[in-house]
Amino acid sequence: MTPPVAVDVVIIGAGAGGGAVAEGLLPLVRDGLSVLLLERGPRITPHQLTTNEADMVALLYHRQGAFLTDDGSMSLAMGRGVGGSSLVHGGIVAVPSQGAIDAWRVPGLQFADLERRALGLAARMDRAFLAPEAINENNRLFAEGAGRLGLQPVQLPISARGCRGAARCHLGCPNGAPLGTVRRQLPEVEAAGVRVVPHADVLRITPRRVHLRVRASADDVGAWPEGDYVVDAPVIVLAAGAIETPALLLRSGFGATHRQVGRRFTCHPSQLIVAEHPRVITSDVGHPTSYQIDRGADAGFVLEPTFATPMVAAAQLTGFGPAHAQMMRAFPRLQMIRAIARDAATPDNRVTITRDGAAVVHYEPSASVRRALVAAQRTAARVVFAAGAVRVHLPAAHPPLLDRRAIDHIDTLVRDELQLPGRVSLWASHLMGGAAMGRDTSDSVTDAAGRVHHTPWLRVADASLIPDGLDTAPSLTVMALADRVAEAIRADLGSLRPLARHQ
Amino acid sequence: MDRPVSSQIAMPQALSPSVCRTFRVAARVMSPDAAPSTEDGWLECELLIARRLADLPANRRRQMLGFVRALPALAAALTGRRFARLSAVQVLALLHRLEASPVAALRRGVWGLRTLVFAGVYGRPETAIATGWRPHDGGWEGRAAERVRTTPGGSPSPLRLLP
Repeated sequence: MTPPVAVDVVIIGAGAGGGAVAEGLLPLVRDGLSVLLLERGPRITPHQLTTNEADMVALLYHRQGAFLTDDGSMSLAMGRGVGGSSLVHGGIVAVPSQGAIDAWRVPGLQFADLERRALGLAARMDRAFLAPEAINENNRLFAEGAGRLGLQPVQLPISARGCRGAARCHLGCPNGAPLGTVRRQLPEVEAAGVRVVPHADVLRITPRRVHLRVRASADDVGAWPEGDYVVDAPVIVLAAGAIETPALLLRSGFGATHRQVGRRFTCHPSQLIVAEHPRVITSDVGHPTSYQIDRGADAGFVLEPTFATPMVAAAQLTGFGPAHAQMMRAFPRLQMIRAIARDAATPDNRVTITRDGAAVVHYEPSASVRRALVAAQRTAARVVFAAGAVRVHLPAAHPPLLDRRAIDHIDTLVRDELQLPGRVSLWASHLMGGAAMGRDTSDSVTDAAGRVHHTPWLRVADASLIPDGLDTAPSLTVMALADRVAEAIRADLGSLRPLARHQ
Repeated sequence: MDRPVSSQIAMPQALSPSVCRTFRVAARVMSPDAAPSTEDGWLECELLIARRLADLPANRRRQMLGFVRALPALAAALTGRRFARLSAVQVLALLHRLEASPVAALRRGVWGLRTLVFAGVYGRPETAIATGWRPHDGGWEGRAAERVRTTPGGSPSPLRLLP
C-alpha cells in the first residue's frame, strides 16, 4: 500500500458527469484547488478507433456491450474509458422537457435553472441542425415515410461542428466530433491541472477517503503504477454512472443508512427494426440520427433512424436462420430504425451487488414498456412501407419477416405475447437512477445538488441522480445536473475543507 | 503513444473441442450465409466467441457454457436423435423450439448462443465487409472521394452546418 494521496476533490468516473463537475470546478482549480479524476477504463485516442467492430466493442464497451440484466434478458450498453459513455455518444444534444423535470418533483430543482445550464452547455457543444444535403438516405426515408403518414418527424440537433458523417458514433467517432466530454471538457480540465488517472478501480469509500486499485496499464498517460492506493479528500464526487455509482455506495455500506441506494433504476429499452428496400440506400455515411418521431406522451415510444454496423445489427435483430440471413444479405439496402420505450422508475427495478461487490441490475420491462415497443414496431412498419420498403423485420411478429402485403394485418401480426424475454433482442442505453435526488432518505439518496443526505463530504454527479423517466437521451441533462453539483461544491468548499483537517 | 487495440484485450482461454463443435453446428444454421468456410475462419470465429465469453462474469459464463454443453442432451431428449446426426433443418427446428420455450432459461440460452455466434461470425472484418458495409473515417468526403476515384466528376461533400 502506498502512502495516502491528499487532494481537495476526488471525482470517481470520467464520463459526462465527472467531466462536467471538473469543468465546473475550473475557476477554483486555477486558484490552486487540487482535483483528481479517477477512471476505471483506459484512455482511448482517435488513432485507436478502427472499423474492426469486434475490437471496438471490446475496447469501448463494458463487458463488450453484454452487461446483462439479472434475468439475462436485456443487455445494457455502457462505455468504458476516459470519457465514459460519451465515447460512444451519438452527439445528439437534447434538452429535457419541462414536463419531465417537473414530474420528478425534486425540492430545489427548477426546470428553468436546469434548462439554462443545458442550453449553455449545448452552445459550447456547437449545437446545430445538419443541412438537408448532409442528411443521409436512411434518415430521409424515415422522414418521408413518417411525413406521408402525418407523423410529423422532428429534426434533432447535434454537436455537429466536427461531424464528417463517419456514421459509426457507437464505435467511437474517428473524428472526435461531439464537442462534449472527450473532445472539449477533459482536455480543458487536464490543461488546467486536473489529474486524470485511468485504470483506477475504486473498491470502496470511507469518510473522506477513497480506496482504489490501479491495474496494469502499460503506458497510458496519467496512469499510476499498478497497486493499491488511498486518496484522502474533503469532497468525494461519485460520477461512475447509474450502475457503478449505486454499486459503489452499496459496497461502501451506505445501503444500511440510505435505503434508496440502488432503487429506481430505469433506462430506455430499445429494439432494432430493419426494412429492406429495392435499392442501395445511404446509411453508412452521414450522421445516423437526424430525426425523431416522439410518441412518448400518448404511446410511450420514440422512433429514431439509426445505423448498426454488421456485428451489432446481427445481434440486435431478433431471431436467427434464413429470415435473419436474408436481412443481413440485404445490408446495403436496409433502412434501420431504433424503437425506444420510455419507462418510469419503480423501486423494484434496482441495482444490487453480489457478495464480492459486483453490480447486478434487476430490471423487468413493465407491461407498458412491452406494449409501447409493440406499438413502436407497428408504427415503424407503416413508416418503412410508406417510404418504399419491400419487407420489414419485426421482433414481435411471427414470422418476423413481413412483406408489404402484411401492412393491412400489421396489428394482428405484431403481438405483445411474442415479446418474450429471451426470445426478442432487447437492449438499453440511457441508464438512469439508483442514487436519485429527492427530499430525504425516505425517497432518495441525495438532495437537488447531489449532496448525499447526511453526508456532506459525499456528492453524486451522474445519471444515477435522475429520479424517474426522462423524455430525451440523458447526457445533456446529466451534464447540467453535474454543473449544479459543481456549483454546490464551490459554495460548500469553505465549510468542508476544515472537516478534513480536523479528522 | 497509441497501443494497438489487440494489446489491450486479454487472450481468452481456448474453447474445448466439444464446445467448438456445437458452436460450429449452431453457426451454420443460425447464420447460413456468413458462417466461415475455412478452418482459419472458424478459428478466428472461435477466438472472438472465446473473447466474449471471457468478458462475462464467471456465473454467466458457466451458464452459457452449460447451455452449449447441454444442447446435445436436449437434442436427444427432444428429437430422439444425436445432435451431431441432425440435419441443418432439424437443428434449426430444435433451436426455434427452444427459442419459443415456456422455460425462460432455455430461451435465454438460445439468445446467448445466437449473440455469441453472431459476434464470432459477423465480428470477423472479412464478413463485415462482405455484407456491403463501406465505412469511411472521412464520412461524406470519403464517400465522395471514392466516387471521384471511380466516377469522373463525383459529388463533393454535402456537409454544411445551419447557423
